[in-house]
Amino acid sequence: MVVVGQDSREPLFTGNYQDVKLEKLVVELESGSAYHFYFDSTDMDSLKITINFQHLSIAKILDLVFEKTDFKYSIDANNIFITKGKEIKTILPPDYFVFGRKADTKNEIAVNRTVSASKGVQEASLENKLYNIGIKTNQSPKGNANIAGYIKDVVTGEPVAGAAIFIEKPRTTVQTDQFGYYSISVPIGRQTLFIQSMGKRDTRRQVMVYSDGKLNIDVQDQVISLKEVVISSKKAANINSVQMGVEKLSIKTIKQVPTVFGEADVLRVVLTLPGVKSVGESSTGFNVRGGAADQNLILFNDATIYNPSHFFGFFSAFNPEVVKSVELYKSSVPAQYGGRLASVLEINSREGNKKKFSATAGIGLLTSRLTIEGPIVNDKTSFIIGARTTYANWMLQFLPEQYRKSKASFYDVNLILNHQINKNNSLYLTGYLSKDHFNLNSDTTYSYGNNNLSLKWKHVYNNKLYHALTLGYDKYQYDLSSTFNPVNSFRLTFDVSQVSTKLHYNYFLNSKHNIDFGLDAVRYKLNPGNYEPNQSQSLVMPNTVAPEQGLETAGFIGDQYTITEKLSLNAGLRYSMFNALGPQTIYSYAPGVPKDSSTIVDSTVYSKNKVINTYRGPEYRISLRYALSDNFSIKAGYNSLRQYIQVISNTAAITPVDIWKLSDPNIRPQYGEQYSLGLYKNFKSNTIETSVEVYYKNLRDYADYKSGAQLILNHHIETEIINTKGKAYGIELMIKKLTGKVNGWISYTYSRILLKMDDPNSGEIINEGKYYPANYDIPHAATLVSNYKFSHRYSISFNATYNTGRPITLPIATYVYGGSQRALYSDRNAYRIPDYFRIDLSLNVEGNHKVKQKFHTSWTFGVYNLTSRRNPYSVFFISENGVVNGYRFSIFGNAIPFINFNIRFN
Amino acid sequence: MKHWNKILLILLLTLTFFRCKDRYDPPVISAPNSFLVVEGFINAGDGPTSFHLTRTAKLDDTSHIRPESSAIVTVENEAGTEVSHLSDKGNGEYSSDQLNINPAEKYLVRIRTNEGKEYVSDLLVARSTPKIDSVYWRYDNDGLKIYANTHDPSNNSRYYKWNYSETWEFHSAFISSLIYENGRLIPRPVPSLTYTCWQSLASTSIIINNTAGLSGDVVNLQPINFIPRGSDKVSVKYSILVTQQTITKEAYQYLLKMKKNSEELGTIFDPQPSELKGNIHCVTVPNELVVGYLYSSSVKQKRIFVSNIELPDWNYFSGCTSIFVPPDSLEFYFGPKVFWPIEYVNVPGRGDGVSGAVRGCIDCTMFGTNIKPSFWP
Repeated sequence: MVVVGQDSREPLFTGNYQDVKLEKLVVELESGSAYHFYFDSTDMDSLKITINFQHLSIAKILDLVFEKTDFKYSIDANNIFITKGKEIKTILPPDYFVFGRKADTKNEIAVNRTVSASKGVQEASLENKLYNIGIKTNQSPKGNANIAGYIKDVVTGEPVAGAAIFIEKPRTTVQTDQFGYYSISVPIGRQTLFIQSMGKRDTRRQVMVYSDGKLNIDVQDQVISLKEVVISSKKAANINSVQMGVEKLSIKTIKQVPTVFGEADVLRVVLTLPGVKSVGESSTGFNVRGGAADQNLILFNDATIYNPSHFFGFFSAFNPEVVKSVELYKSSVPAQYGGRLASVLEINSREGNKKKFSATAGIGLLTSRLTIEGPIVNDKTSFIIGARTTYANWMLQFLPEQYRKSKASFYDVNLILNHQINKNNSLYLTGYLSKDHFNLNSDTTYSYGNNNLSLKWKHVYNNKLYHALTLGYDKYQYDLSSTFNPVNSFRLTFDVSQVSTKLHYNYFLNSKHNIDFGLDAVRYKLNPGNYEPNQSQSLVMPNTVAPEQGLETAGFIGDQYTITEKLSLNAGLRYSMFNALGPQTIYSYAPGVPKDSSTIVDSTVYSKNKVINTYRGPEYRISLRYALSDNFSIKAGYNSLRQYIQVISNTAAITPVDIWKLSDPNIRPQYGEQYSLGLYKNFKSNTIETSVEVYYKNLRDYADYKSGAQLILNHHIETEIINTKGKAYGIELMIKKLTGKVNGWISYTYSRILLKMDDPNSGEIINEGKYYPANYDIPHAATLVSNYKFSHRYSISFNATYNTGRPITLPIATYVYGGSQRALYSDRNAYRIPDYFRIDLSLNVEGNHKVKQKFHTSWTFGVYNLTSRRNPYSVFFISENGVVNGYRFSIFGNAIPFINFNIRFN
Repeated sequence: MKHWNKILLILLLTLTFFRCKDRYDPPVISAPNSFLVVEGFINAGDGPTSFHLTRTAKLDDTSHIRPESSAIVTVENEAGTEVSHLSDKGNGEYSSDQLNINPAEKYLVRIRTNEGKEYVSDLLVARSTPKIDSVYWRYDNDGLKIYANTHDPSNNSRYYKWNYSETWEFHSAFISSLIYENGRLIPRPVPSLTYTCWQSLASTSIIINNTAGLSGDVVNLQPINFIPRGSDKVSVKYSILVTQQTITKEAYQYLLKMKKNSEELGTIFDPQPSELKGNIHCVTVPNELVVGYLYSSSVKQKRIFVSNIELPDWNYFSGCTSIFVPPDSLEFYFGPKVFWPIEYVNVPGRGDGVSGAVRGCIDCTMFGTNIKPSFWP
């Protein structure tokens, strides 16, 4: 820098700067003059200056430097003030002291305020405003810049997950993650960001992009208005997303669907989706595309829930007041998930209201619930706590006679805390506790429960890179006990627990690549059965099946690659490894003969943490999308998965007291692969979505059991298990309308799941080694879920479900033995129970809609199984008084009316 | 609030009409299923050895007992020497007098059917049965519950099977002193012959238990039978003879499977019915299904009696009422033999006549025998 003192009062400068900070220039300008600069360096630290000047006055230089930026400067004697946005007036306006003119001044400031540029985050809340992103430089911009930020609910401050953010030219779409975080790469210059999310009003933001920057966007709940029908041409997420076989439901949709006792039920609604079935009305769990119930990974805010049901499956374990949304992956499972073959069900909780306290209470015939939420530190830390309990004993007397003296109760508690440490670091804590207690008309008392805790730390490195580190502890346990007979009084306990950690990076490389990668580790510990006396008089000998340990580790990487506007690819690779760990005694069996306690040839004792054996392999997750037009796309996918922990059960319905088993040298992990193809087309400006998906699955080493297997307290359970091959295929059709007065969906599914056991060395060949249908093979299923809003306050929901009956083993003959006629069974699952059909209806009445009132009430009235059809849950043959009688057993033999009352306090 | 009550009432009424079990008629299964069923045991103690041979029947067969007759049933020792040739008692029953069983030896059962097929059992080891310590009852609101206790000081028995035979004395509702014959009333020679009767039934369920998980070979509170309150079985006096046997672990497991398949279904968490694999094999057609599991064991028995007076408020009600028959209507009522006369009566306002009731309320032999069992006190 050269200073030429041409005029003693006005020095002239010459200099050449490439990409320097303002401070550097200021230091040199101050040293060559009497001027003092005043500015806030945090405002300026993103401003880079490239300038070349000769013999220019300080005012001219500053004009050049700030020419295309929002920075203003003002010179007052020897003081130079640099400000962002607003210029500091060194002279008072002439009318400053005139009373009544202040309003105009304010206006001026308000107008000026819209122009702002900084590295800091700006809160945008208006659609017609122009937001400047990044730092204006004096260079002419070109290329792309990245915008990142959070999408939040304007009222509660809760992040909005799964919102789509897109620009039209070039067509680029990104989605917010579970934190509501997005990162999109856009060309520099003027752009419009469109934001769409389920249950939220569509919005857009006008942005002027100079360089990388942040933009947080607040969105509002969609208030359905009668007169205004919003038709949007942009609602095409199903067309644009590469993923297939993904179903997303918001709690709003879930709450509209009538359920048996009137309480919104997450899993019941999941069961209405194409490709999802259950074996009956009271079964724990569900079956996805021919998968067994233990092949679903059920995650509640990253915590693995081993038993998602209460009360024999009549209620799901998830409190509807705490749940925000549910996402089911039945085909394209993201590479970050693994460990189960059939599906991933992600249940995301709400976050507590960050701005004010509120409480919700609900009263139903069988359950009541209370939820409290609010800020701990305004806008930074919030909590939500939800609890449910039941008083269902009164209803049990209406159950079939054999259950009339039963008792049952449950409760669950959810606690979710989130804390924003600073703009780049957030913590999320989820706690879940559930407990069920029941006694099915016998001397034996059952209880079971889930305990889960997970802590997540999200750290944003920059606009493009962030990580989430999750630590979790999950446990499921049950116990059975009886004290009726002092000699035999016992207590049987079982538990499975896991400690897990996951490090997940997300890297938004550019507009074409969004990469995520990470590591995943789960340490399992199972106590497969501990049987002990329950009283001092008891003669029961303690019997403990040795605990099992295992370590599942995986590394994963995935890339969402937009090849062209029409073609995009989602490719993921997960490499998973399982180590069975000591202490353990492993039996080896004579080769070529059935595994049996008599064919044990050797046993090996492994010490603590010693690796017994290792299974490993790659898992591929690939899907491809090609857009044939703006509202028509075709997708194809291939997925492979491995599962190292499974339920061993010989009942048709998964029960709360089934045992889980880790893979070991005698029990191979399950392997599954799926090919799928889908067509997606939207009609009527994207208000109607239609899809057709077909799939074919291969399963290997699916564990079926031998006839009459003894599974509880079995010290070598591998002798009761046979490995089967399986194949599943199907087609799913769906028409969906999620907006307007009438909304809902219709789906039809054709699907088969067939198993085959033809290994002569297993000791038992099922159905002569031919393919036989699995217990949950339900070929035809059709569902209608609909909701009609006839005013702001009243809406009617109507559901219809039809499906083929599940397979059963029917007797082929009868014989007389032990003084009674009895039924003789042969081929497994050769027949079916009668078809299932049910209609439900409910009326939802909202209290008045005054925004300011202290509390808000709503009622739900409805009838479950309106036609009173006796849908058989099972068909069975029982010897009574010496003869065989066949019965069909229905859980709900009649129409069941229900009432539910909800109140929300603000 | 009134509104509320109404809703609840409607609700309760609806729920009360829950009836979830309906009869089910399965589709016709036309598989040619006629498998041999063998039930019985080699009596290693005192008493005869007998086997019951039947065939499986189709589900819709009206006569579900199909005895296998004209078979040759023999018991052989390990060396292949015939120990006994059982005699055909007809109706599928084959039995012998007491066998001389050596507890150190193994035996098998060989069956040659009339159609020329040969079946042979696995070798059976004789097990000895400990005595029944007690048979006792408890009485509660539901009814009468019969239990048994036993124990084996040598801790060897472990797997137990019971069955029972119950007998009860009962009375008809009315004791009749008259017979209507050839259009006139004559005195009944021995009125008690139609008044006091006995009926017997054998157990129809599989009663088994094990003490394998216990430190001592002790069975306590083993449920044997249950009689609902008000049943005619204890309207006068009831007796139960409990038979106990020690069986092998394998036989126990087989019977447990059979019990689960046939007696314990219909719950929410039913296990799948499973195939049964016994210890009798067809030599002629390998892999042919044979139902039954044979064992060799001795037998221990115990009998108890329970009288109606020991059970307060048993509340047996026959449901019988008598009618008044005027003298001019005797033929109309008693001619067709549906009604039987009881005795001469005089009803004020209606005069002389004869009381009567349906035969079932007078003639106890319709339901049992009037021959007193030998063991009856």
